[in-house]
Formats: sequence, C-alpha cells, structure tokens
Amino acid sequence: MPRDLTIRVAGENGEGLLSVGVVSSQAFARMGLNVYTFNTPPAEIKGGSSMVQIRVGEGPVRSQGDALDILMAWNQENYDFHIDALRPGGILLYDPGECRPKESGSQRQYPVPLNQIIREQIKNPRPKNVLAFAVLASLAGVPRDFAETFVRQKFGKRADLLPLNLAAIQHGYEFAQAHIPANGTHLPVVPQEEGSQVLLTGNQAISLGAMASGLQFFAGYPITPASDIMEFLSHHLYKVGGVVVQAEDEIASLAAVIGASFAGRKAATATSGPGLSLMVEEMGLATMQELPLVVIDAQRGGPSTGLPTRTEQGDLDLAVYGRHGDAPRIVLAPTDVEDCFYTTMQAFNLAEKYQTPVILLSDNHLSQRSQAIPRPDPARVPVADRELTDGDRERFHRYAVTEGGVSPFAIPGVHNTPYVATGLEHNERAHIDYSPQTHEVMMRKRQNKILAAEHESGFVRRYGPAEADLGLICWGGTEGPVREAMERAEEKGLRVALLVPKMLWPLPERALTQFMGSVKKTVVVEANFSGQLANLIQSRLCRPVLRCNRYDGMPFTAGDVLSYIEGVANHD
Amino acid sequence: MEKLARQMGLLPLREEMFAPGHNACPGCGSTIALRMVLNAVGERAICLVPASCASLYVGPGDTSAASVPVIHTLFAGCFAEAEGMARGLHLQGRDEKVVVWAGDGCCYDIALGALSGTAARGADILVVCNDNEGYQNTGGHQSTATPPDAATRTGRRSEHALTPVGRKDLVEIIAAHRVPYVATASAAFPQDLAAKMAKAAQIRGFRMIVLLTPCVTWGYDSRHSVKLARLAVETGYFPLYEVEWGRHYRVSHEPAMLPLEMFTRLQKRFHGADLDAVYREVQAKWEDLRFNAGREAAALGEGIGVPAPPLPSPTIR
Repeated sequence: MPRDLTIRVAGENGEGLLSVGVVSSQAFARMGLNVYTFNTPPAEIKGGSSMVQIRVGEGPVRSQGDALDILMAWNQENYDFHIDALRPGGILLYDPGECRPKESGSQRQYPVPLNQIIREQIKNPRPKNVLAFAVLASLAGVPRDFAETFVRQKFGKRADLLPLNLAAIQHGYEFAQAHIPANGTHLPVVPQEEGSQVLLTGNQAISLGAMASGLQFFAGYPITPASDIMEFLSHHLYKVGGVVVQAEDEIASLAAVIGASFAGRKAATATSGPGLSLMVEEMGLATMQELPLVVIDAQRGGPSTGLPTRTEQGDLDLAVYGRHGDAPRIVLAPTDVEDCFYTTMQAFNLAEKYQTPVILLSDNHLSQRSQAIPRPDPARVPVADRELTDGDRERFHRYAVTEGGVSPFAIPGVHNTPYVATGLEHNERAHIDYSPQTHEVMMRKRQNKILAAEHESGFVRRYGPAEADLGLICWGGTEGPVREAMERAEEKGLRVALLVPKMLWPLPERALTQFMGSVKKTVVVEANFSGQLANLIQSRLCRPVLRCNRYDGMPFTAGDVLSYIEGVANHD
Repeated sequence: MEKLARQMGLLPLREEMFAPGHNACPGCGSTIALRMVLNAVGERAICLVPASCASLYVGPGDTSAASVPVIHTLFAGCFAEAEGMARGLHLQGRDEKVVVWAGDGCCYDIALGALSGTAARGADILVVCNDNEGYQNTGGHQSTATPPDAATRTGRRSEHALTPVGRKDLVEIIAAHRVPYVATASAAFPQDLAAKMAKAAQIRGFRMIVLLTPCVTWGYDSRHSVKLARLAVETGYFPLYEVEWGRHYRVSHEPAMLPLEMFTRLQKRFHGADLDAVYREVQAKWEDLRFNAGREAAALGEGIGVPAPPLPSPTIR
C-alpha cells in the first residue's frame, strides 16, 4: 500500500478539468484521507492548457508532491508537456484518440478512451470530468458504492445530470477494473467522525478566520488571486450582520476600511501585490491615526501585472518597508490552509490589541489550493478587542503615551470624548503639533508598541533536533515542502532543524538568534529572487545566511529543498 | 482618396491589422470589435492596453494578434501614460495616433480620475472603452458598468447597494468635459463603427468611443456573440450616438426598439433579475437622448412637424 499518491490530470481548460480536481479531492477527503491540491489555470477565462494535481495520503501531506505516480493526459500537447514529471514506474493514462505516447521502458502506459466512452456510451460530453474521476478513483481504491453515494449527494438536486454522472461512474469503474491493473495504488478508507474534517482553500480559511474574529466590514477590488475572499464574504458576511463593499480601486478599498475601523468596527481588505502598492499611502494614514485593520495580501508573481495565476513570495519588502515616513506595522504569514484560519484570527487580535494595520501575507499557491484539514475551532484563539476609553472626557487623551504605547480608543458618537483624528503629527490630546519634542515622543510611541509585539507567543515554530548541522528558515506557504524535505533528510541521517517565523515584522530576533546559535549553518528558503527574508535577517542580526530561492512562479517541492540540503551537506 | 475610402470601411483592407488565431475565448465579442478598431485606425497607430484579457491576446511578442506597436500598461495611469506618449510623439513631429484600448473596469472605476484628467487637459488621445459590463478577466466581478440586478461572482449588484443603482453613464460624464468627440459603437454595426472611428481619427484632442462587447461570462452560447451585440442596440439597451463638444448630440442608428427581453433572455446573468430596473434605466436614457438630440435637430431646422421617434418598448412578460 502506498504512503501517498500524487495524481496529475492535464488537458484543455473549459472541458471540466478543474472540476476533476474538485470532485476527486472532495471524494478523497470524505474517505478520511489527507488531500493537497495544486493547479495552474491559465489567465484566460476559457481555453488554454491547464492541469490539476492532487496528492492524497493516509499520513500528513505537506506539499504537492515531487514526481507523479499517475499522470492522465487528455491530449498530445499536455502529454508532451507533463510526461517528464512522471516518476519511473509511474502510470500514464492517455486518451488514445488524442495522444500517442512514446515507448517507455519503466513507465506503465494504459489507453483510456475518455472521448470514445463519452461519445459512444454516455452520449453526452458533460460528465467527462466525472468519468475521469471514476477511472482515477478506481485506481486509488475508492470503493465504487462510495463514489456513487458521493455523486448522488453532489448531483442529487439535478435530475438531468444525475443519471449521466452515475453512468460515468459505472463506465469509468468498469473500464478501469477491466483494463488497468491497480498494482500498489490502492489507498485505504480511514473511518472518521462525520464532519470532523473539512476541505478548504486558503482563501476560504482566511475568510472564515476573519468572520470568526468578528469581521464586520470588508471592502475590496477584484484582483487575482485574492478575489475569492471578496466573493466568499459577499455570500456569507451578511449572515453575521456584516457588509461587503466593492470599491472602485484599492485606494478606496483601504480608505473605506479605515473609515469603518474609525467607526469602531473590525474591518479588512484583501488584495495582491499591485493593489498593496496602491494602498501604501492609506496605510501611512492608518498608522498615524493608530487604527486597527487587516490587509490580506495574496502574493503573485511580479512586478507589475506579472504572473497573476502563479505564486511568489515577493511582497515581503513591500509589506515591511512599503511606507513613507517611519511607519511600522505588523506583518504575519500563515503557513498552510489550517494555519490560514488561526493566523487570520491572530491578525485581527494583534490589530485590535496594538491599534495598528496588520498585513497578512498569503500567496497564490496557498490561497488557491485545497487541503483537507480538521474542522477549525474558533475557540482556540480567544477574540481580542481594542481597549476603549472609560468615557471620562476630562482625562481622555486619544494618543496618551502609556507604558506599552497603546492608548484608549474612543468610538466617535458612542463615547462622549470627541477628538480629531489627523494624519498630521499630533500630541497626546490629538492636537496638531509639529514641535520636535512631540514628533520625537509620538514616533517613539508608535515604534515601541509595534516592537513590543515581538514578545507575543505562538508566532515561531521550531521542528527537528535541538542542535543540528543545518538550520532551515522559511516563511509562509513554503513551510510544507521545507518541513517534508527536513523529515526526508532526517531519514537519510542528516541533522537538520527548521524554524518558521509566522511574524515577519517585528522580526522575532531573539528566537532567530537562538536558533542560529544552535545550528552550524543557516539556510533561508523562500520563493523569491532576492531573498527578502534573508536580507531582513542579515540586516537586523548581522549574521550571514545561505539562500535557497525559487523564482519561476511555481511553488517549492520537497525534492527541490532536499537536493539543496544534500548539496550543502556534501559540500562540507 | 483610397486612404479615405479605406478609413471609411468602403474598400477591402490590404492587410488585416488584427491577425487570426488569437487566444481569446471562443465567442469573445471584444476581439471582433478590436479588429474593426485597428483596421479603421490603420497602421500609423500605437496602442496602449491596460490589464485585461486584451493584454493577453494583443500583448507584445511574437504571438501578438495586433499589427501595431502595443504597450501593456497599468490601470490607474494608462490614460496619463497615453497623454505623455502623444506629447512625446508631437515633440518629434510624428503623427501616429495614440489609441488606448481599456475595459470598463478601467474606464468606469479605477482610472476614471485619470480619464477625467486627460479629457480636461485635452490630451490628444483616442480612448476606446471595451465595455463588457464587468471585470470579466478576473472571472466576472461587477463594475459600475454592470446593469442593475445582473448576477456576478459576488452576487447581484443591487444586493450590495443601499439605494438603487444603474449603470454609470460614462458617455455623459465624458461629454460633460466638453471634449471634441465622444460616441458609442458596436461591432454588430461595422459601418457605423468604422465611420465613427474614421471621424475620431481625423480630430485632434481627446476622443472617446464606448463599445458594448458581449463577453462569454454573461452566460450565453458562444454563437450568440454578434447577435447579442445587435440586440443590445436594437432593443434600445445600448443606444448608438455621438456627442461633439459636449453639446451636439446625434443618434446614429434608429433602433427597432425590440422588446428588451429578446436581449436579456439569452444571458444567464439576467436569469431571475429584476428586468423592470433595467427597463426603467433604458427608458430614462432614451428620454434624455431624445431631448438632447432633439435640441440639435431643432437648431438645424429639422424635425418640425415630424412625429416623435419611438421610445423603448415595454417588456413582453
């Protein structure tokens, strides 16, 4: 029985290819297996080649997988493009009417005449995706009655589609059982409690996390790959009394969020790199006025319009340093789909606690992929709210200099403590004041409260032995493949440890210093060219680090990182 | 003479300025329109395209479908960039026309400020708005050109509004800048489109043409693309007219005023929508248009004793 299976289906977009991924991952998740999807849609709406990849296994599935166990190619172009990714001994399924594969000694090749079955037996092109799913499900050991029940639940409301899809299941299973020997590809069914596991994308987990934190106002502007957050919230936020506004651009989006926060409500926006750069001026205002808000940045390949449907971790510099004046803010990065939920809750909590903008850095791969995760539990992160004034008008100083730097907040029209919120420099009483003393005091106040956030617990994860030859540091969505690479390196007898800071500003310097002291060499693994976290660490800690970067728009695989680790180990 | 005839669309073109084999969706309404626009402007043009589907299918490179230089640019600054380019060309004594091909999301929403700025400065550019009534490249999100109550990825537009909202009337907004020329056109009326493009191409200063281009994300069968473009005009949903110097209105095609439902029922986005809201908007638009065009006709001594032209017909539900 395999530990896990990596399956890729490649074909023409618009033929229901993406829904093969959706249907398969939902079915596998219902079997109690762990699922991790990866897809690369083209930027066009219809047409163009695309592929979906599903890695499914009984144990933890931390990355999209390296070499493929099963490749299903719907046509010649996609066969040519993807065949090199199939591992030796892997299974190629191809449509013989569309594709002529080359002879291969080690790979097993089986023709699957999808189009012929569709044309001659089902006589309707629509269930091609379910037919493809049935063939794959049969190979992966999904019981046929399970697949049928699943299809009944999914299409039960559509009387026109249900018989077609049940026929597709029947033909798919019968064909696979008759023609494709399933040697070593069967996965087990893992019994689980109903509803204990859910299949979510990163964007859905972020949206749910935001709602669990008490989000009441969301303003956004369509941009790939963050648009799903606005879509999800416009269909659900009203259920908890919240409001979604689509603004005319990103500047207006963040401005509306600032307004809602000023009015005392939890507010957020979501965008990608080009939008975040437009928000920079508004971000300065929010920092100056000390307003809690959350900006979600699903990073994509850049600069400029760049690679809208590909991934990159290229916005760290912008998130940390994209500012006029010395305007500090908190920057967090969730690491996987489950973490998206909890880190979003933490982002709202920190925004409220420190009265500051918080930027949450996701990336295209993290925001778009689906993972089967344990049902998120909002109770794990107690919700925090901003400190409010006691309403004593005489003593009220909106920007009072306190020990922690955080001052009581007054909601206009609620507390009888009027003040002028201004983007100009102001004193403790919010009066405009350009004096050198005031600027010095207020600058220190704004900086110190953010630096204090470094001492928040739970934002650094460490894996591996207490002392190691090689220490890996990574952030955000690269945690999964790096952790998998670390585990595989350990199996090979290498001593490797991993540190994942989820808070990137303020940089957790003490944890980083301690970690770097416990390893002989440090490598920062990140999906950008310049090594933005590596630069940040070097500039703050003045310690050299090695860099492992991938910047082709594709996510790291565990194999990438493992070969780098072995290269460094062999170099010694 | 031949050049003029070519620009008027009266002679077959020697060379197609928009090559076949582009990679837009089957049934895309905008590629048909872009082909006509490029053919009408001719080879002495430079095209700016802010982020959109068009940046993929006319983007620079060996696979570009356009035979003129194309600059793929950003939303917020594209019109100002075009103005800078026009000024740069003038400084060199060059006469290439600067054409911006921008979507409704760009013109109606994110870059409306820059559009207004360049119009007010009288920039020597020709803006063609590829209005498919939404952000279709991101998957079908609403813009302020989306009709009231049409379904989008974020639900119906009316669900998010506290007060009733219709389509933003961009032509009137630009006309209020008193620019030399602003017009609407449709690829289903190629002679009208070519005549307006030829007219706009002769004028110096700020010119704009708003094209209604059906997009497959409206939820129609690919083969209905041109039919929908025609029905949009013939039902009165999208009037074909032009405005010179912000005051001189002319309706360039008298629609048959077919029932609005003939246009809406072919599109999934209107299924279950409140069509009365759409109808009221169309009717109000025609009342204004008749008034403005009538003033022009009266000034010219026309239209006296002629019965009033028809207003849109009610829906046939």
